[in-house]
Amino acid sequence: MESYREPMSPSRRVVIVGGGMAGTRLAQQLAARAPVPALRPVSALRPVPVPPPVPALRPVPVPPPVPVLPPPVLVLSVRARVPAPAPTPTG
Amino acid sequence: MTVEVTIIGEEPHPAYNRVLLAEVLAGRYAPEVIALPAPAAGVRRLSGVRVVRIDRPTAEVVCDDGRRVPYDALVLATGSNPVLPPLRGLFEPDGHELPDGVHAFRTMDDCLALGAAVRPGARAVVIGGGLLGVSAARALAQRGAQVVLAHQGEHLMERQLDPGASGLLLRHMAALGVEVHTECRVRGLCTRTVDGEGGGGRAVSAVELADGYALEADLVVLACGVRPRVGLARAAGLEVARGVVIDDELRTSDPRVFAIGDCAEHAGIVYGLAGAAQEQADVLAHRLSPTPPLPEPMVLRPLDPQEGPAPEPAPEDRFVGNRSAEWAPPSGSWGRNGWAQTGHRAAPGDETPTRHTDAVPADHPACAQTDHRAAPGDETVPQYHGTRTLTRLTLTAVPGSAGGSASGTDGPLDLAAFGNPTPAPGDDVIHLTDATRNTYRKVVVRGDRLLGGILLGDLGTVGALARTWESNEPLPATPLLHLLTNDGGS
Ligand SMILES: Cc1cc2nc3c(=O)[nH]c(=O)nc-3n(C[C@H](O)[C@H](O)[C@H](O)COP(=O)(O)OP(=O)(O)OC[C@H]3O[C@@H](n4cnc5c(N)ncnc54)[C@H](O)[C@@H]3O)c2cc1C
Repeated sequence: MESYREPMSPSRRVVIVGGGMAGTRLAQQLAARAPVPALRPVSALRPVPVPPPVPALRPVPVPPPVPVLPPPVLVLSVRARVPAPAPTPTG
Repeated sequence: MTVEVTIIGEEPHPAYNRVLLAEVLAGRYAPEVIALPAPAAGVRRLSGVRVVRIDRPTAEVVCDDGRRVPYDALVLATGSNPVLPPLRGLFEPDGHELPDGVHAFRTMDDCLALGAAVRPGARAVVIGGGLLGVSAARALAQRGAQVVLAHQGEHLMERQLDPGASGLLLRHMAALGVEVHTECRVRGLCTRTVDGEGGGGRAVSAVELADGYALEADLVVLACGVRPRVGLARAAGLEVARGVVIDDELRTSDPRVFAIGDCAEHAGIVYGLAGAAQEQADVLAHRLSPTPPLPEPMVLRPLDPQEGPAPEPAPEDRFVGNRSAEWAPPSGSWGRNGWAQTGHRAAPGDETPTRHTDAVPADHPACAQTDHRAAPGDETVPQYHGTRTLTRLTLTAVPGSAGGSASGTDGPLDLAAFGNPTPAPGDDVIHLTDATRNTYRKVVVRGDRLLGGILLGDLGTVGALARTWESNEPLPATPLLHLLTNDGGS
C-alpha cells in the first residue's frame, strides 16, 4: 500500500482528520504560519469524482400567512435584585 | 523545517461554513456562496475519504480505501453527529436507513436533500426547538412549506433564552407561518410503503405525538441535538468522556494526537460551537508551527506493506443520514464567505445570519479567555483556556409576511444571547421589554461582572455587551441601565 512517508523527510507531517470548520481553519492557519512544501505528484492521491452540478436553490414566494397574535403590551424598564430565599427554620 | 499538511474529510464537497446551511436551505444563498476560503496550495486535501482507524504504534491513519497516511502530529477534527431520537418507526428492526422524507440537518448533503424535497404547501414537521430546529423551521417556511415545530421543552431555544424572550420568538415564528407546539413529545413516525429502485422502501406519512394526536407529514427534520464523533479516538484507546478529552495545549491522552472543534472536550465542556472550534484551531496552529518541538515519537514499528483491507468504521462514527444529493460547486466560485464572526465584530452590513452560541456557565473555570501569550515558564507554547462567545441568530422574514416584527413591519428578528441569563439570589437583573416593538433586553449582573444576557429585536447594545462579556472585565461605573440603552454607556 502506498504511503506519503518519504525517507528523511525534512517536513513535519500534520494530518488532520475531518475537513469541516475546525480542520479547514487549522489547515489555513498552518499554511499561513509555516512554510508549506510544494506538493509533489503523489500517485496515492485518488482523483475525487465531481458530481454534476444542480442549479442553485432559489427562494420560493409564498402567500402571507394570517397571524393571530395577542395584542402587544409595553413593559417598562425594571431593575430588581433577586431576593435571598427565606431562612428555613432549624431544629 | 516545513510543515506538510494533509486534511482528510469524508464529505465530498469543498469545505463550507456549516453555520450558514439554513440560508442555503432557505434559498437565500447558493451552496458555493458559503464555501470557506481554500487552504493554501501546498495543503493536500483528500475529500470523500473516511479515516477508519488510527494506528498509533506506526503513527499512521488508515482510510476506507485502504491507504495509510503517516503523521508526526495527528489532529482529530471529526465534529459531531446528529442525535437520532429513539422514535418508534424511525428505523426498521436491524435497519440503518431513515424513511424517505426524514432528514437530519447537519451536512450539506442533508441540506440539499431537504431542499430538493421541499415544495410549496409540503407538510413539514421539525422535531426539536433549539437553535437548529428554529433555523430549519424558518428556512422551510421561507420555501413555502407548512411547518409545525414540535418541541419537548417548555420554551424555544432553552439553552439560550429565558421564557420571556422565547415568548417573543414564538410570536415571530407564528407570524412566519410556523405552528409551534411546546411541551410536545413525539413518540414515533408512521410510514407507508413506496416503490423504490431496489425494491419497496418506506416514506414518512405522519408524526405520532405522545398525547395520541398525529401530525401528517411529507417531511420530517430531526433537530434533536448533536453528539461528538469520538469513535475513532475511542477505538484507538484515547481518553474519551463525552468528547475526546484534551488539555490546555489541545493534546489528547497521546501527546502526538490533538483534538479540536465539536469532537473535543476541554475542562469538561464540549462546546459544539463554531467560535470555540475556530479559537482551538488558531491556538493549535501556533502549537504545531515549526518552533515548538513535538514530543518524542512513540515506539514505531516498520510499515507493513501487506496490510489488509481497511476495517469497518466504528459504529458510532458511521454517518446516518440521507443519501447524498448530486451537487458540485461551479469551479472557481468558492471562497466569498469566511468565518462566522463573533457578533460584535461583524462589519456593518454583514448579513451573516447566525453566529456563535455559548453553552458555558459564566462561573465555569473555562470562562477565562484564550491565552495566546506564553505560559509561565514557557515562552513558546500557547494555551487554550476556554471560549466565551455569544449566540447570534437572525431569523429573516418570509417575504410579504408580517413576520419581521410583531409591530407589523417586514424585517428580520435578531437575537443575541450569552452566558447564563438565569439569576441566582443576590444577582441584579436589568430588564427592558417592549412587546409593541418586539424587543426584549435583559442582563444579569453579579458583583461588577456580567453573568449573562439576552437581546432580542434590537441589538444596538450588543457590541459593548459582547466586549465586556468576552473580556470578563469589570462593568463601567455608569448606571447599569446604560448597558441596555446606549451601547453600554461608553
Ligand atoms: C445547521 C447548523 C447551524 C449551526 N449554527 C451555528 C451557529 O449559529 N453558531 C455556532 O457557533 N455554531 C453553529 N453550528 C455548529 C457549528 O457548525 C460547529 O460547531 C462547527 O461546524 C464545528 O466544526 P468542526 O470542524 O468541529 O466540525 P464539522 O464542521 O462538523 O466538521 C467535521 C468534519 O469531519 C468529517 N469527519 C468526521 N469523521 C471523519 C472521519 N473518520 N474521516 C474523515 N472525515 C471525518 C465530517 O464529515 C465533517 O465534515 C451550527 C451547526 C449546524 C449543523
